[in-house]
Amino acid sequence: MHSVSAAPALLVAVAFSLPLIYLKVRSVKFFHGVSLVTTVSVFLLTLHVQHYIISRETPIVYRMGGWPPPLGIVYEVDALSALLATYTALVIVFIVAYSYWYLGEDPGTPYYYSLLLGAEAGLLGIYYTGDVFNLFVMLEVLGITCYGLVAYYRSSREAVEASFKYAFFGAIAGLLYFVAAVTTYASFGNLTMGFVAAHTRPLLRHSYQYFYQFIDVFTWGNITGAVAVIVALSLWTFTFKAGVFPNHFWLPDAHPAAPTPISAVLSGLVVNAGAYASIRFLYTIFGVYDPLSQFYHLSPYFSVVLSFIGAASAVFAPIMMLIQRDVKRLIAYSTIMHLGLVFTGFSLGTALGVKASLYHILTHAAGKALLFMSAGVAVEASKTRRITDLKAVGRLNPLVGASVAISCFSLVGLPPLGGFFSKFALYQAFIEAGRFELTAVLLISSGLALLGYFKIIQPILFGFPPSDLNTSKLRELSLWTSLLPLLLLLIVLNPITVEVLLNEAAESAVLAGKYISQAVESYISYIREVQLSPGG
Amino acid sequence: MSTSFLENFLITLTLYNILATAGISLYGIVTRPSVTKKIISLTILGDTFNVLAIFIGFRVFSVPPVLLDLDGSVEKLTTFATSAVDPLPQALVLTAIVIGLAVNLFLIFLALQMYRLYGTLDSRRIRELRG
Repeated sequence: MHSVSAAPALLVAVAFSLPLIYLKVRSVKFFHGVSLVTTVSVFLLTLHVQHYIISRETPIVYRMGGWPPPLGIVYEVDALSALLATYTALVIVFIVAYSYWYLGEDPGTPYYYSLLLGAEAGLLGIYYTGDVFNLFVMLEVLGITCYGLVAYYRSSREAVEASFKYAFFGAIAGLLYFVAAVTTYASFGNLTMGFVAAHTRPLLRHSYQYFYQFIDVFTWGNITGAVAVIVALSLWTFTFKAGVFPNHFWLPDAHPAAPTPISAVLSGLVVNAGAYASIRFLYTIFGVYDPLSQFYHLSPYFSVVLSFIGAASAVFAPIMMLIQRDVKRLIAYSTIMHLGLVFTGFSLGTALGVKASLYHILTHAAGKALLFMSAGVAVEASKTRRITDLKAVGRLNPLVGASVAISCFSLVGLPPLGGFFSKFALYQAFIEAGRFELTAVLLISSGLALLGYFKIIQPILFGFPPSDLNTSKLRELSLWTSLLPLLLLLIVLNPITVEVLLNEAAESAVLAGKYISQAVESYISYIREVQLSPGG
Repeated sequence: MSTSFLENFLITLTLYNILATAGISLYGIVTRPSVTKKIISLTILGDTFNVLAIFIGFRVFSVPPVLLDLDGSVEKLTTFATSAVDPLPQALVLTAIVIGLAVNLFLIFLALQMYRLYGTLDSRRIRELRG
């Protein structure tokens, strides 16, 4: 199953070679083309992995360099990670298509794509990895490329300051995750996610008796305290990456300062990595919400903390949206709100909650990318980010107008669009778990956010139109190929189309049995191969 | 008797050193207004956590994790496994050092660019100038 490792490897190879090719090839159009081809082929690779996992119905384990799991690094892909990786690769294709409209003949384009492809490699690495320490490396790959992209306009005071803030606190967050990874090794004696997960489920030990006899030696000290420390430290990092309430402070500065396509990547895709890693740690690895796990009794504490920070960001962010004067800053605050809702979704500890969270991640990613890119057209046309000075681009270009309106309606949650169904799923999950105060939070935040979105819709659709949009044929094509597919995606993301995928992903997150058994099987099959081979 | 006392003493000393250095560097990150000093504090914090990782895999009076003769006898392997330090945290630290190098270099270049644009590296002044 080499497609698993081929996707990040291809991205890293292209990302590193782009600046070298720039020494010889000076045509900027060439780099737009190469990046588009690369992202499309990566999307096909991730689609292949997704198809393979859905048809086999078990996670797949890829051994890096052939070393078996507890010794070597593995990529372990289940329905949850495959779904998010495929979706990320898909949305990035449209963002790269939009980048031609935005950058045009900008001489920094090769470096821009080098960092953007690096960020995609980091994202896919985070989703695919089955190793706690490899997750740290991939978080840093994602981090460094994103800091660089935020500071793309290096002569802008705002961008450099925002990037410094993001990079500095990102470095501290990375260090805390490093401590969590080292503590995991000290407590469990290995760093493979499936094996650590196996340790936390004492009941599963009967299935792999001989395997545990020599692994049990490593567990020392107060294991519950160690796990509480690990989960707390790593959640600090993941909430930082996701931009959720106490660690959101960098987000409203960094997202608007970046180039518009990068704002779409950061707000739509990068924040999801934090939510995914939280789900992976809480559900699969330490099984805080799994009754089979020996840490199940920790679930009330994490549930209270996570639903509090989620609810706090869902209520606080829309209030901040109402007082913003900068359009991109307003959209960035809306990201904090939506990630808050995602965190409340999986804080419940039910399969329905995880499913609703994942659904909301999908609809939010498409809606937020579309909103950033279409509002970016208005920002470019009016040469300012002040909401009151935005020109009504929607009256000249109906595609942009429709994109702004549809993405805002989807983010608010109006019926025929994806955002309605995901918010409805969240609502159902809250009711099922008996958390009525969270349904109130959901309704209040949606109502407040509606007022915020109308501040964007009003000038772009009903204000004074600009004199002309002076776009070339190719730039126009770039705009259509990026906005229209995302628009259609928002319309087709309803339960009829994604129900099966979401069910598989949520089931894979909540029931860790297959994830663990595939990792252990990979080890056992390696031992058998060695014993059967002539040299062994 | 004296060996175990020395062992305890060294381990306790290292552990308290790590905790104290982490606290001091966090204090520096929070309270120092100078961006340069913030970055210095951050590198100290990073090195502290690297020492913590080494410390977790360490044994006092141990041998390096290099097996010199591979004759496959069980006794030799057992003495090796019970006396050698754990090499994996060292590999983790090596990776973390390289990543830390990249992040710190990037931060230093950003600080240089900030100095060019703002004319100062005092974070309070920068906040005022940004408005």
